[in-house]
Amino acid sequence: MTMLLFMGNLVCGCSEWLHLEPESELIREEFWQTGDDVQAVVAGTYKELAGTVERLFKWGELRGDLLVPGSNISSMDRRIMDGFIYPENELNRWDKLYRTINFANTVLKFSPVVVERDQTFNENESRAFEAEALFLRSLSYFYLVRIFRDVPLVLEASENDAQDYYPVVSPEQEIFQQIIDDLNTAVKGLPTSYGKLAYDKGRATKSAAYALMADVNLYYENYQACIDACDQIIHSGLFGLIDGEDWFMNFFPGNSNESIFEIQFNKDLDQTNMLYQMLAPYPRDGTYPDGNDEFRVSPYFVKEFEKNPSDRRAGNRTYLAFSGGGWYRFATSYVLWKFVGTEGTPSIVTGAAASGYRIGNKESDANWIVYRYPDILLMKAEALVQLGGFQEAANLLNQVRNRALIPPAAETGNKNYLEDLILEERAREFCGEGKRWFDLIRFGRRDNYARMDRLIEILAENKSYEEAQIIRSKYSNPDSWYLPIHQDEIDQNNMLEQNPYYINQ
Amino acid sequence: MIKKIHTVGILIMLVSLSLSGQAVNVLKGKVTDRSTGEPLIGVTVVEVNELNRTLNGTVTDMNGNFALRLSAPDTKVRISYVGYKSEEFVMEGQDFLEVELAEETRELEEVVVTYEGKKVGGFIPVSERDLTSAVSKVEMSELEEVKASSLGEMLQGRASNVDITMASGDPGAGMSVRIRGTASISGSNQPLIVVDGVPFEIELDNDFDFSAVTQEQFSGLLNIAPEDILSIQVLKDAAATAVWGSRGANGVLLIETKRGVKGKTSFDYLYKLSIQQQPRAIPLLDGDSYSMLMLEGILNSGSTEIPDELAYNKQWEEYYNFSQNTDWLQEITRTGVSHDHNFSLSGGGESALYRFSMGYFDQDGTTKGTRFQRVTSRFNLDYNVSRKLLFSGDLSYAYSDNDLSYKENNDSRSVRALAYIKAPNMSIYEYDAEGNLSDNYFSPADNFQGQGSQWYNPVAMVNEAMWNRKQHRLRTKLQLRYNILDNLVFQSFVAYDLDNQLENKFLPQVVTGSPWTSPYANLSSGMDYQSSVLETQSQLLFTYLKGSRHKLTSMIAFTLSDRKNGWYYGSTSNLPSAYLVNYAQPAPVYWIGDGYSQNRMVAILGFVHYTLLDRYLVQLNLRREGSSRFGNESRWGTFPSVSVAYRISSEPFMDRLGFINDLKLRYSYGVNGNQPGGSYGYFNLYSTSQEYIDMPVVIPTNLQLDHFRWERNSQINYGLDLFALNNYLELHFDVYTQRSKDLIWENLDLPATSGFPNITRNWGSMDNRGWEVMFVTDILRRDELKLDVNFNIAHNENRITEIPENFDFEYEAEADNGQYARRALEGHPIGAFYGFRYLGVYPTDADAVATDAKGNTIYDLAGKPLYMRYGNADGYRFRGGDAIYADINHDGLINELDIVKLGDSNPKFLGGFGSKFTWKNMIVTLFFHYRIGQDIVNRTKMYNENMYYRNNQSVSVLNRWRRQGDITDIPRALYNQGYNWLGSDRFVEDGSFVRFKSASISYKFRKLASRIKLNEFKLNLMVYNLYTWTGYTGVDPEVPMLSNDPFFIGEDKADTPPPQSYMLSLNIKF
Repeated sequence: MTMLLFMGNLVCGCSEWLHLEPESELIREEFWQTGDDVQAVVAGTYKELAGTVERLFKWGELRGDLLVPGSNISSMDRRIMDGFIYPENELNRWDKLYRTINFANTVLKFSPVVVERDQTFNENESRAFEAEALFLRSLSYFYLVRIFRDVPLVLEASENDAQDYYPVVSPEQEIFQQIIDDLNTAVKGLPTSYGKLAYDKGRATKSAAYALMADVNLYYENYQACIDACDQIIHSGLFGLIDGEDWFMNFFPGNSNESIFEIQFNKDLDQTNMLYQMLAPYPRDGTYPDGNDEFRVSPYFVKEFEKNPSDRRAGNRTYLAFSGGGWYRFATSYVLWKFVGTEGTPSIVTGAAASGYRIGNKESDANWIVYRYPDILLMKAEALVQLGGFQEAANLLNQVRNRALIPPAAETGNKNYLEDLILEERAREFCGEGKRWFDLIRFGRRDNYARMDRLIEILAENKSYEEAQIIRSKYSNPDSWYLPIHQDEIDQNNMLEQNPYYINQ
Repeated sequence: MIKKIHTVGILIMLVSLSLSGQAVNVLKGKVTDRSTGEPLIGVTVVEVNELNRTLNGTVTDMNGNFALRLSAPDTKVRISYVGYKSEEFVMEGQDFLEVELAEETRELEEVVVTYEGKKVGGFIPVSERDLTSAVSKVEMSELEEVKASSLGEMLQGRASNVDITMASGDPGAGMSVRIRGTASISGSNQPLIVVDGVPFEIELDNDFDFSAVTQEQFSGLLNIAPEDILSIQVLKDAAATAVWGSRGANGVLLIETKRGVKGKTSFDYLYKLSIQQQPRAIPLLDGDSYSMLMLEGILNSGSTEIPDELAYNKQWEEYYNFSQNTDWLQEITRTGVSHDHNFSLSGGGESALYRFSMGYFDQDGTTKGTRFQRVTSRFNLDYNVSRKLLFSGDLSYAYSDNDLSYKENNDSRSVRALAYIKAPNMSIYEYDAEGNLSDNYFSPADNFQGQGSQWYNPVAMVNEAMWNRKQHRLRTKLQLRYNILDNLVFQSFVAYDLDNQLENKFLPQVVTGSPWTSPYANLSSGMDYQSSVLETQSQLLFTYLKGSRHKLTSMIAFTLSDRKNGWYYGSTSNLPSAYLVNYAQPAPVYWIGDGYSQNRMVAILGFVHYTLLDRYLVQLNLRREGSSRFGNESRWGTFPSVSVAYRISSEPFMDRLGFINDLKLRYSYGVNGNQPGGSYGYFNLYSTSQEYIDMPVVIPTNLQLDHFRWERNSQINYGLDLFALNNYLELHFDVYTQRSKDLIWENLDLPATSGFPNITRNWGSMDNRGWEVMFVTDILRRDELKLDVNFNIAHNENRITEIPENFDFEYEAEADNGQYARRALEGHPIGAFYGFRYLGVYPTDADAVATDAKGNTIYDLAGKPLYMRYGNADGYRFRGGDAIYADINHDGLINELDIVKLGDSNPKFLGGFGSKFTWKNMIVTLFFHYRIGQDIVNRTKMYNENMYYRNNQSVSVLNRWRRQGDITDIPRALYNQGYNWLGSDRFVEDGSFVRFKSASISYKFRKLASRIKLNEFKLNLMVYNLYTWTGYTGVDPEVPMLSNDPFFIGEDKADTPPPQSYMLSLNIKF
């Protein structure tokens, strides 16, 4: 009996004895104590977004008309480029964007809690971090609605197994409203500068939030709001177009005076991406550049470019003609040069350390530019055209053209003509920067699909007759402009509804 | 506890009282041998009290005389001598004692646990006869003639429904054990192994990051010398395993090691020599046929370029290196030899019993470069302080040193699989342009077949690459047993188990041929794993007997365990020399990592067993267990079980049926629990990650589990035990159904919108049903002639009964070359797999047209026939020479919709049978092991017949389709294109087999032994894996089932199959 009692007592004490905490990892109960903890998760949110760069590139370019498949393109990517899109395609995975959103939600939930715990961390500091999180969440949702249109709107941090992880999709209007509300809050909390170049370009600032606000409003046809946001940046005096001669400095070394927000990479800190790998050619003889040749610039687009031979952005500032190095030769192809080169005039040689190339896998650290100043000028121009401000729009357009050393465009009073010119200019300026497809569908959606035919023409123009036929029939249904939700997501969440275009396929 | 201390205190007082209050009394005497009359020297003469506690003692002198001062004239004197029967005398005041001691004769067969009597079920003190639960016993006396190097090899097929598969035939390879099928969807399904009452961990902790090592090779290293094992029991139903708690939820293997027995010290030496021979490999193409095949494949794929390697151009500088006929498999195979020495010493006297053993085992595997060395030692001591108090101490230490075939990681090919696909036209050693052979390995980093780890030179791999693992394992156990009253016993032990494993891998540049700057040049890696487990258990036993009417045995026990694991691994590359193989060199770090985890378990257990009239038996168990792997809310689980039995044979009315000696019917119901593998799964963890700009990054890595609880396995078992015909016949029969509820799904997929890829949850249920029969009969039982036959068979059926609502039941890509769909579907078993139906080869392009259900060709709107395509309407078009797959839905497309169930990796029946024949001094044994009805994916065949890569292929591809109109069942060679090797029934085979597992003949040389003064001299000749009856076309149908993956399927991946081995052993006892 004594024994029984003794054991009984022991068992009560045992629950305590059975509580073991991990030594090599933190648990939430120990975390969220200081402002540094908040900053570390904010940094994690950026880091997660940085992990999506390859997909941002593919989402923005593969369905567009500026690139063609390279020799080592994956079959999944080829199907996207050929327009054969099925829900199983890996590019339809949205996990990384939702991870970014979840980290942002986590910051929003716990940062206010830390204010109460850490005396040295005040409400303003917390608000600034929350604003960064709101910016990153908004940017992620803006990508999501442009890629998938209607997606689940998740605003709660995922913490434990009691929550519901099976959301329904929200209509894009609802998400748009959320983004605008969030950005209005964010812009108040964000600083103008962090006092350090890499932070000013690589973290959210007021200007970055205005740039995103302009982009979102333009997409949803709130032109005046777009112009207002652009003006905030133009009038800030913080940015300017750099001299045409130095144009390539936007990409190497990056963080130029034009840059508003770009995701930072740095080889010295092992922060790299796959852009070089995807785009550099594959010479097969062991010489540099030693890429994988997955995507190339379309020869058709190169011809367009060469209509203006004086264009500072033409030739090996945007694309490099390549026909192999050393003993291995093949038909000329065009390398997208922005993420591969170090300068505008490379020497074509085969040596391991050929000047002009970033040195392959060892230095895959080109920044991913989300917004730079010409984008603001052209967005404002595009909005002005819609509101009838043709002359001012042409002036903004010509600012970009002048810098590129190409002849200014004349204002003819023709809205469509000017609209097309701006679209073309954006193609030349931002080729390969993950914007083309979104530019095209923004154009196609406008005024209740008023110019959908033109969009389809652009996509079909340089294709064979057979391919053009397929494109015409496919893209005549605007549902097809958005990717399907990946099949795994549909299987795992019975509440989701697939984009109708892909259901009856 | 308090009561115990009191008792001890009273005892001490009594002793001191009795010492002080007596007059001086001296006893003299003489001790002689009863048979020879000679005096015995050094005989222990002690005065003991009524509890047999020694009060005073002395030993006899050269003449056998002694003198002992007694504390009282009416005390008790005990006289004992090693090898003689002890005598006890109660003094009645005499002062001289003449004693004749009789020699103690000891039969080896009587080796039983000495101090606790025959017991079954570990710490449950119930005799085998009165068992109410399902327990199988493997008689070691049966196995004595079977000499094996590992426990797994010895046990295969011996106990019913214990499915043992070896990881591979390589020396030191692990084993997988499944008792009554797969009960848990996540975590381990290995049973708990208990050695001398202490759980023995054979698996690495789940928190251990397996990215760097191969789990399969790691598991199941049970380093116990088979010679040290006394008995093995298998606990199967929940009523039997319940006392072991959650760790025993997959069944329990109880191993009892040999202990010292009273008697003269005896020595036992056993030497085993064995020779192993690899079974015949699948014949492969030689260099010339290979070149022909490659050319054909490349041309068929639309290319017109002829690679230099196939062009037979003598001008080319590498001509000689690519025009050989190398049999790579032959080059890495050899005859294996092993030596095994075992030595033991045991004996004991009145108060101390001991057994000491040492073993040394050294095996060279049949694949070059593989070796396993093992040193085992064990010391078991029992010390009787008094009749009431017994101490025992066990110590065992094992060291093993294992050289394995280098393998980069879990998914890499084994070197044997590599040899299967290596181009046979390539040379082992390098030739120069003139055709002079050098002694450098020919291992270009980038060759015709490709670059990377699967294209290394296999000969260079086995000779130069290194993968070595050393393990130290130290186990101690200290146990105390105190008989408080005759029927009340307290027993307690503390055990400590230390496991240290060191791994070192080295991949020299001569193997990879990679440039010196590559991370694969001189890549060295290492790992250090340490685990320590503390186990304690205290129990209080109470028995009550009243005549033969009532018999009650009860127990209450308290047990806890604390396990700590720590590991470190690292890898460096570009070491300056191939001789610096240690990864801790100052060289560029390739990767590095470490970790630590700890987990604890506490349980309290109550147990009652009651027998009425020797007929009605009932047993109740209740275990309450707490685990540190759960959060506060669900930390404790309660697991009850009840079992009843009815011994009909003890009913008076059964007296008429005299041929039945014992007939017992059993029923049991019990619940047991399963815990998750990871230690800290329920916490919301945050960990650091790579920086952004220069800002440190911390991110949450999982979801907190508030609703996470024990997985519950309930089992109902009906059993029958029969002994009949004067015990000539023994039969055991069991039927069971087991249901696992609240299955723990580790890493269940979660919609990505949550921001996390997966979550751990309790969800769904799964059933296992089956039956098992064990049957032993003595056909002959005479003095000098004995023949017995044993047979066991078992059947288990696994079925998923409920799966999570949002569970994505598909595994990876389904319809692709080499892929088999694995689905978890309600009503289907785990281990089922799905794929296409293979119907042969299209003779011509025109035959590859879509047909409707009636077999008529389908035409498109333009009236042209619709050709078969893969995937969708713009997919690959099938042509003449391509594989025909059944277009189940007749849509002209071969895709996911045409996938059907192809097979099931679970065997339908498994078991073994054997016979033992004894005639005078000769014993012959035969044993067969079988598994029937399991389907195997023959990956080796797939990789050797797909003609898709630049892999070498088997000779069967000589039968391939070559030109329009050919009728054959092997498709055309098509390099890097097409879908000729989709996961289809073409590569699925019935893996049923019956294996002539072992045959042995041994002879005891009695006359010779006595002439050279040995107790025993025995020679044994044994053959392992003599022959396998199977329809399987691969090398061996025994495929390992080692993974913890719920979607695991049985695949033959060309691991080293179990070799044929011949063993000669010599046993001497003196």
